[in-house]
Amino acid sequence: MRWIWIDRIVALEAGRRCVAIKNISLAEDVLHDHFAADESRVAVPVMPNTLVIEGMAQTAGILVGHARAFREKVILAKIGRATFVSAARPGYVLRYEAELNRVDDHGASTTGTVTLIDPASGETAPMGEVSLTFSHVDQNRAGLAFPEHNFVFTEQFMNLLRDGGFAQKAQ
Amino acid sequence: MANEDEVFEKVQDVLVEALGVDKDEINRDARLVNDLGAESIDFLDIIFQLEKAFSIKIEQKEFSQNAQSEGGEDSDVTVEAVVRFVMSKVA
Repeated sequence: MRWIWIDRIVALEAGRRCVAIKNISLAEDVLHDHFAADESRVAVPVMPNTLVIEGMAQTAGILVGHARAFREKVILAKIGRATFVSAARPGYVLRYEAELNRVDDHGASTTGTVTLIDPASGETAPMGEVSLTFSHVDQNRAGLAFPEHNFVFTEQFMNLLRDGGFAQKAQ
Repeated sequence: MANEDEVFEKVQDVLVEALGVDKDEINRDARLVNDLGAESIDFLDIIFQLEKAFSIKIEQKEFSQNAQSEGGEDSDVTVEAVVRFVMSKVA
């Protein structure tokens, strides 16, 4: 299963911000269920906002991981706030911009904006804002133990960094 | 010197944002876990938000040792303890 909801990293400033791009495509099965046609309406394919949040979590998670040289297992622990003013339709592009507010041994907090880009016109419009809290799971307050290998920052994420020209930062 | 009522009000704002509770539920005796529904990860969020709201730096251990130690057997934290902890940091 490929659980990766960003396509490209376009900016990464250590400990400050990360920007990623996501192309919304009808080739993604999930759009056909959300919302499928029924007796009362035609199909309205929209990328679910939960997955938009996941895209932000992946963008911000890379930013948080990068701040500690990917030594920590960075897990999304809490969605503090997520507000959306428009829908993510196929054929559009999402631009995630995450900013790091705070990071310490236990975790991090980020805020971010989602922008909807229309590739046909080049116009952009704000789509939403998402505030997240991440946990460095090996430092969790509950004292739970997790596998030693870093199961968060997989090869897929490291490839994204490399393809974005940030390979030297993904050591 | 920070005014305690002002600190209390800002702590309420932080807890409203972090825990999604109504402001009028947050009295000084309310306990974060048992009364306001805080979970372990919320403490990280609360600490980060307190830092931002009061322009202070809080170490997790420091918060646990001070605010949480007042909670007795269940290690819960009262709003009053959080206010006192913040007062000690901003004094």
